[in-house]
Amino acid sequence: MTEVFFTGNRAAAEAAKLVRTQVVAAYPITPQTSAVEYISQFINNGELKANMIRVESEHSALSAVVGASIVGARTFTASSSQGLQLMSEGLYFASGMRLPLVMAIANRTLSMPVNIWADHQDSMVNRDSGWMQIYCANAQEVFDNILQAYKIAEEVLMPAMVCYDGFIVSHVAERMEIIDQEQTDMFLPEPDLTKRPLMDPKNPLQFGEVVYPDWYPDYEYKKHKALLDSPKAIMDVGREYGELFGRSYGMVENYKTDDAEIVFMGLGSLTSTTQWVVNDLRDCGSKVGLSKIRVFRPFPDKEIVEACKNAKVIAVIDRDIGYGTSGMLFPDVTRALYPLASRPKCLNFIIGLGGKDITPETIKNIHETCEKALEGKEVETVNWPDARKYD
Amino acid sequence: MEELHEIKLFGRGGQGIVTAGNLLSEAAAHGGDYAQSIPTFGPERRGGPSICSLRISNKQILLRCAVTSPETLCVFDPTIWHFVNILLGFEDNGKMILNTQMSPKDVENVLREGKYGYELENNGYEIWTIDATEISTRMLGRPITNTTMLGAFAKATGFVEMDNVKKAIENRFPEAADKNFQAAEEAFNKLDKL
Repeated sequence: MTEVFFTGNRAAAEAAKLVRTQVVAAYPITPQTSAVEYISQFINNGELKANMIRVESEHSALSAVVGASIVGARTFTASSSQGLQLMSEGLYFASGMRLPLVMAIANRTLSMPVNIWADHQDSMVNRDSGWMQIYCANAQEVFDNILQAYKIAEEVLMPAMVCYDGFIVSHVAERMEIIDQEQTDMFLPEPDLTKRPLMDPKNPLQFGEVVYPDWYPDYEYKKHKALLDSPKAIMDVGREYGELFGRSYGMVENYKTDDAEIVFMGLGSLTSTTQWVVNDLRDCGSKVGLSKIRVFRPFPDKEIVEACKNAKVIAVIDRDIGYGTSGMLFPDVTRALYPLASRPKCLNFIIGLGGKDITPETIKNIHETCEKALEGKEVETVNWPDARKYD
Repeated sequence: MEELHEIKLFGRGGQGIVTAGNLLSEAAAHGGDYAQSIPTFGPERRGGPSICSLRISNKQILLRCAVTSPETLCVFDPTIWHFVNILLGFEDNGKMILNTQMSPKDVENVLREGKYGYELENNGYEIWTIDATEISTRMLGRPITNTTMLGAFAKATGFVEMDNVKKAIENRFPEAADKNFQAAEEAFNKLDKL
């Protein structure tokens, strides 16, 4: 274990190096670029023996790692924003062929208008692509989650995205711990290639073939089932990681939710500032808690219900927007809570779009609206506390 | 008990403000503290204002947003404060460290008069000045003050030790570490206080 001072992108690159990635393909896009630049340096200075495929687009980048994975290589790629959108077609190829890819996403919003800063629009619109999605609040979590993502993906044979906020995590340098090569090799041995069919000229197989309507639903169900069953692997790996290296992970991190009347819920770095606000509000006597959702796909129904069992108001904080409806985390939370006999009031807050700074004041503003709802006053379901008012 | 220091660094694009923030964070980390440096990210223009938020704490830092009420200001450029309100949100009993040829007293007068469109009205403050441009030009051959000012910051705040500043400079600029650290040391020794 070594203490280092890394940015989120550097942490991602270090993790990709330690897992002994064999093939890397990526196309530059802000704010992901420096992650792959670091990997390029590792290959250049001999720290990493991997094949870096220089491609002409993100579509090709994902296609290249899909191909490499089909022959059994451990691969890495990373993207952001429009780049991830260009990969969109391939995302479904990867999950449909059950390839254990791992991709880092430095979250950035989608154009237009053009904006290079953080929100979760890019990964959230791909939430139904069959990829697992793990969100990180700081560089340490980026490192830990990428290492774990390989182990999880290779166990359940579904691809995983590890998402972290552009700039506010990708470019902020902070103190963190890394594990060494020996520890990584012990935690993540070479992939077990007997678990899935591989492309081999000596034993020709066809990959990505046509499936007719009669069998198609069965393929879809199996993908769905693989993700539904994946929490076991995710929890086992998170526990093992904790036993070995001191930091355990689950699906959700519930913080002071046991007796909370108001529970904040969200993804990514905003949960860190929210945790600070929870401490502050608790000092002032408010019964508030935080449900920090680490794994968004598969969706952690059980843990969400657990977090909300005593709550009266849930503030679902979305750093994304489904135009014409609500944020994209909100419907999953309300669906998970719907079967409960007595349901808390669920409010949705859209904040931090396009990198708008999420400050303690933003979260306290959300808290005030929740307090109003707690007192029985009428409040909007979907709120935009950090945007200007137009009506 | 958490001791959280919130700091803002001011300069111009191209002067290495982001690097200075990272070096100070790293120096603080070498001293066993937690630190975080958050630049105002964007398509930076050389010469345009560049601002960096810096937090140093003895505990893990949960806040992940720009600093809005700094207790310490560190101004790397001699004229940036003529058109950027460096006192926005400045806490009482805070410290400001400026790269300027002016004395701390003159800086106080200018700021209290509101010469640049904003006034120093705080209850209690410290003003420290150093001609870092002169030191950098003489020692490093160019007027880039980002490493020189680290010494001034270390002396005025005590948030980072010079040994750890040295380590951070060595990690970042292995080839030019000695010169850069000597410039920081000179600023450490020559800083004026009001």
